[in-house]
Amino acid sequence: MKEITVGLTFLVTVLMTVEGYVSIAPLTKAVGELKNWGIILSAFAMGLAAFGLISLHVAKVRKRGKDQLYSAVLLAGFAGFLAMGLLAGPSSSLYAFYYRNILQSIGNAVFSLLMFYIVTAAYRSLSINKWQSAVILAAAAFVMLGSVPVGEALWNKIPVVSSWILKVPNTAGQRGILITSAIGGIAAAVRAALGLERSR
Amino acid sequence: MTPRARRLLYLLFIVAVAAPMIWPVHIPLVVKPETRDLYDRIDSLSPGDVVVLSSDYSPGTASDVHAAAVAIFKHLMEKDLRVISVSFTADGPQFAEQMLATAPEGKEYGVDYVDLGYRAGGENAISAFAQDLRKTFPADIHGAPVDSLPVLAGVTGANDFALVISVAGGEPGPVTWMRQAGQPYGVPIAGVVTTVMVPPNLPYYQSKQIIALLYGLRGAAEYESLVNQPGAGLAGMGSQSAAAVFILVSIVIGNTLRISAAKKGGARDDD
Repeated sequence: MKEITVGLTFLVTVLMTVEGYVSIAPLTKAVGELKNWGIILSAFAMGLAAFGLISLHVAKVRKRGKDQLYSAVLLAGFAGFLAMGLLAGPSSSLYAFYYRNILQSIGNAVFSLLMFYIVTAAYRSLSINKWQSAVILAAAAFVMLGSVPVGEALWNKIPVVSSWILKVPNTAGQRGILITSAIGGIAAAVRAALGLERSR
Repeated sequence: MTPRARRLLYLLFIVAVAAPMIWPVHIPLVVKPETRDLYDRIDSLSPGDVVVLSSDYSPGTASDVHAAAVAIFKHLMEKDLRVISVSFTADGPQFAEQMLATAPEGKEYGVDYVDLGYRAGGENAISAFAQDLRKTFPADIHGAPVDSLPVLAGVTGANDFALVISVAGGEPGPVTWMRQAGQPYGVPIAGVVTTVMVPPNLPYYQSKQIIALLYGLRGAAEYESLVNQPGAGLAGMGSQSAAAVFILVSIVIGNTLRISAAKKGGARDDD
């Protein structure tokens, strides 16, 4: 079984890689089919993930643990949106109404809570006790003020400094990270294609 | 920090952010070259050119990027371009629908713009879409066959796109589109990303692999000012400015108290 999966992985990797460099009509068509199979597999994986989530939370409700209420709410929300999607359709006005007024509002609120943690961190934790932390905080201050109109109003050079920080030291660092992670990604992909990954 | 002090800090923060919403403050805005590049590119397109607008963000990141998507869509409609809306994240279609609902009078669904919906698979799905649009999306989000839609006449894949605009809260984003459509097919790729995603995307803008990059809500405000359509972007600049200033003032006050306590040599009660 392991040999079959390794062989399939290797074959698909080679086909995809060669197709990226060589334009041969039958190969392009075959790779196009593989991509569409990949879409189907991804959709199936999402369904599998949903099934796993439901199983986990049904078990929590059955055990009547301390978080069973949250699990029950999750299951009710899941069932409600699933029913609406199946009966009215995901592009219906009913689905859109509940999505906007429940899910979107909750999503915005949860994301917004991060700001309060940032405010607390700004007051308590972002301390200038070494010159390195002072440099980081100064850079952060310039970039933060450069991204809002009040920065330009305070001093017209703030956007210039902010832009320099983003386009010179940041870009240099990001390029280093991108190149090394790309090399690491290629190595990992070759290992996976050759069946050398431990998970196999 | 005691709970009382923490509550006071949060209350002051809420007041600082809410005040500009109630008493709007107009602060002049300078448009960045990264935003101007997208405006100029769209302006240079001819009526009937096909533009793909990919909505790949969730409720948490929508407040940063959705306003830009709306402003850009209005500009695309103004220029009589054909707009194909797609999504490669599950939440994308909901925001795409909200964006398309702002289409001006005289513009018709299926003729001037279309919503193809969502496909699972992330980067693989984008690659499949770029290679063969009709095979990846045989029907639009409402079930109408793509072959029956005038807006998709003559459009088979990325070779027929004049521009791709990726509005992303994370992955897949403009870099993903650059890899799967920009480089293989030569399609210009523009991006609208959240403010925290600007640093990793900026190197691609600098190397011209991405032709334009809008910085979250600030980018939306800039684009709204360029197309003269004030919206959530411009409306949010006052609050965003207040939040940034509040954070910096908190850092200064916190460090001042810490340094003065250290000089006194005692344990500090940072109430």
